Amino acid sequence: MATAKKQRLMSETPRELDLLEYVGERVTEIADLLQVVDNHDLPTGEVTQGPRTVLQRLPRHMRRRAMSYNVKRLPRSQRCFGISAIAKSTHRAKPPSRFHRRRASNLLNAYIRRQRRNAWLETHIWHAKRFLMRDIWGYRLAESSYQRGFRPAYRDSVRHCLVRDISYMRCLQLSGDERGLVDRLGHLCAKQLGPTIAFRAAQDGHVELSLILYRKDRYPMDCIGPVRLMWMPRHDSEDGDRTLWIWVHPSSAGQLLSELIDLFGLIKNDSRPLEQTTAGDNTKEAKPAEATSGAKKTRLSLDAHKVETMEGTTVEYSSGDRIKLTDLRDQLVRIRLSGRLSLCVLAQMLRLVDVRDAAARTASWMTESACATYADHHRRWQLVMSQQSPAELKDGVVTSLLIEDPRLSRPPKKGLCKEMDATRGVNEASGAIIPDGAIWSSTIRRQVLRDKMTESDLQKLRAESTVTLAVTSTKIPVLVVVRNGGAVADLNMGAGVDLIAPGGFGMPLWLAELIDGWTEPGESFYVLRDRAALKAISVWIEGKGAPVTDLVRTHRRALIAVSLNCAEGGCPGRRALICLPADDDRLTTQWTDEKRRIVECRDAPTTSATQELPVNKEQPTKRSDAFFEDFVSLDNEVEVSMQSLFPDKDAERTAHRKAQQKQRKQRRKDNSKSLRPTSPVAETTSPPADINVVDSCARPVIGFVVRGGFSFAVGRGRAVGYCSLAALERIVRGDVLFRNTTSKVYHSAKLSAMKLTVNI
Amino acid sequence: MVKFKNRYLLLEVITDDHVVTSKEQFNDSDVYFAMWEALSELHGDYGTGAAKQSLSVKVCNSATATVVARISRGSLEMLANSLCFVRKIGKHPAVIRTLHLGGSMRSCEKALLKIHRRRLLTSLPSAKTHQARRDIQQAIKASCGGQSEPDMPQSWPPDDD
Repeated sequence: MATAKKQRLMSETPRELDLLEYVGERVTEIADLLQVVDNHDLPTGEVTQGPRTVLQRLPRHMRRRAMSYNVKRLPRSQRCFGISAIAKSTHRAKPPSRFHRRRASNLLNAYIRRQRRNAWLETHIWHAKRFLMRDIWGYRLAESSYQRGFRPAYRDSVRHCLVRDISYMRCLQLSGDERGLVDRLGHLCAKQLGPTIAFRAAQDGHVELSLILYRKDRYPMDCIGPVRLMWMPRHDSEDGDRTLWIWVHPSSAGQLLSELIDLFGLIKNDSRPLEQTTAGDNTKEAKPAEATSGAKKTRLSLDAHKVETMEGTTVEYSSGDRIKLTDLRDQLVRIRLSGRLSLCVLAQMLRLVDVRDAAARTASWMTESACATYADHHRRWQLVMSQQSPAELKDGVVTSLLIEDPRLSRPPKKGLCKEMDATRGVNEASGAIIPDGAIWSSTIRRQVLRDKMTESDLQKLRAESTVTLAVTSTKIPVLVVVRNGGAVADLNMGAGVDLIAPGGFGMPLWLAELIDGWTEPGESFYVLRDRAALKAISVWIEGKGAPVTDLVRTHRRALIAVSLNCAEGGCPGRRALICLPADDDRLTTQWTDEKRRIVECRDAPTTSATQELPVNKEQPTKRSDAFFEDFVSLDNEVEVSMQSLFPDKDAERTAHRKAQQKQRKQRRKDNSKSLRPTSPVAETTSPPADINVVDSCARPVIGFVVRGGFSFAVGRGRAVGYCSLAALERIVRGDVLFRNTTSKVYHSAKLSAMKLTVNI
Repeated sequence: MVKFKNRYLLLEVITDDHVVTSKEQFNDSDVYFAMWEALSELHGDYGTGAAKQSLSVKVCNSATATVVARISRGSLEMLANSLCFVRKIGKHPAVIRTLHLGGSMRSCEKALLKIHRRRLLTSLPSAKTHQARRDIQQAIKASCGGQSEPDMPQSWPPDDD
């Protein structure tokens, strides 16, 4: 039986019963194969299913590689036959060459596309070549320079001038009945902090106020942030309507906007349709790439495009009682100069238009009264302001200037500003001169942008004239605002000037460095800003005033902005702990020979519940147990993970990272459930209830440092931070300790309350 | 510039009854998996890794129990070794016999054609009835593509009737 079966298997004969079926199947397969293999319609050796294409009809020795998309690869006589087939074939589209990608129009499109995620400032390209850029607040901003470090920047800020483009500041334009505006906005201000919006002297528009706004009637809680407020000068033909600009930092802009909407009951208008730019516009900007003039379709330069689209799609809100809010986002350029010589540099940079000369003022929108105003301002600028340092002028003074195209006055070589004239000191007894309101009008701004000459036209003009070109038809109204940080020049809040120009005129001549910005902490506690209170507290901390127990009781949950000055060593860093010294800590330098080094001995507790790294358990074997039958298993055998035997760093790292992510997700879930606003200070000052921060270290913690570092001004470590007001009672003569999060050593420092208010 | 050269294996699946019944039909993924397992058994991860890149079952005809598999030239030997160890396909016990090894699909088709023709011829003697014999003869004639074959007597073997 077995042999018979075997025979059958080895033989090729099928079983008898299925013979016909077997044959039938074979026949069909043979027929199919013949169709493929032995097709008589084709010459021998050919293998196609259907009619052959031109390429297949070519003899093999004439075929070339990749003929299907290039007709020139066919022999000449066959080309006419092959054209249609080749046209049909879709070859992979060659990506455009670098040259093609960098042509002006394509570049512009690329730039516009890249701005979808983060808006660019007008000076972006200049910065991008020289700085490390970062995405902050919806903008792409310069963070640190590749060329100049911190020390040269500091030197510049002290000796010359430091320039920065702060056009990312949001400008909100409010217009309406003056009385109504003042009354309602007064809810957002607090008298204790200084002048509010009701400040009469500022209402004619010659001064820009620096305010700190809170949510409606919520002072001292719920601070929105610092703003700068400027009134538009009164018009002759007014019906009691006034306009004002509020400049606010982008991080608090959203909050302010929603607060204003609530306050005035504003409703968003449907955005206006995009303004059609006429074909003959010269709206190309000075850029290295040559814009194609004379083309049928004018291509806007990047800035002009931006401004035109922005203005075309300006977001407007209006309420029933004629109050209108316009979001002038990205429509104005604001440049900040800080340092002693800011005004001097600006004076050299700006070429003023001679308004008395009728031929010079060719701007179509100029009126007689405006000319007179500009004449006044120009005179004052030239005689007084450009000779002084900003620290000597009143804070917030606004000057309106009419300047020529800044490209004309660009010096061939970069040079330092000349020193200030020693015969300064002319007093500004002329009083407040009201600035001109040209820049406030969006039509004028747009007109000025349209009048702006293209780079190619400018070059043509320059080529034609033998004399250096001094004047073009572009006249730009700008505002210059003096910034004087306040009574006490503290840390990096140097005095300087701001230049406000209409959008589209990113100024070419300037040095840009970056100063670390001031971040406004969140408000789960609140920061005490009451000037009188702060003054009392600072005096008391120095040891010269009366104790402030009443204040402490009323402001139990207040934080105070403090500054730390290190005694000897140590450099406070971010989030360093400010601690109270113990009684027996020798802090003064008199005891240097016996000075102890105060070291943290306790392990810092983690702020979240410690979680073990999940152990990588080996996957349960898929093989059946039968595989292991041969192995002798002992009773006390334990499954050991491969990870523990042969620790794989990568696997460990990924496991750790996954655990961290899970923790973070969990924390985020928990946070979103609670209503606590997330903010950097809230994280550190209001930890979860079960962690006692104060007693977590060797010395009681009273506050945290927000920013700190080595100060070149004093040659020691300095820091700025927040302390709890209640703890200040326990401080003696301002002696505190601080410890960085990366160190175990405590250093001594002197604490003092910062009276200076936050300014932007 | 490098051309990846493959080898095409013409395989026959031999089941227990030597003919695949409708119950024992298999599809290409069954065959693939069977080859995969055999490769893994014999050559381990290296084998399966090499095979995964290139192994594919091109044709699978369970009615005629013919399979054409393609593999890269480098891994051919491994596959050829492991084909011996294929014991079942799908759920049914089967073995694989290699009929032809070629460099192109076309050569396998030509070989298959030859094999089928030869088998038709060899099946002729096992025809029991006259009708069956005649059908087979017709089939042979048709499969020759109209080319003349050596003259065959009208009835072979001689009729019984």
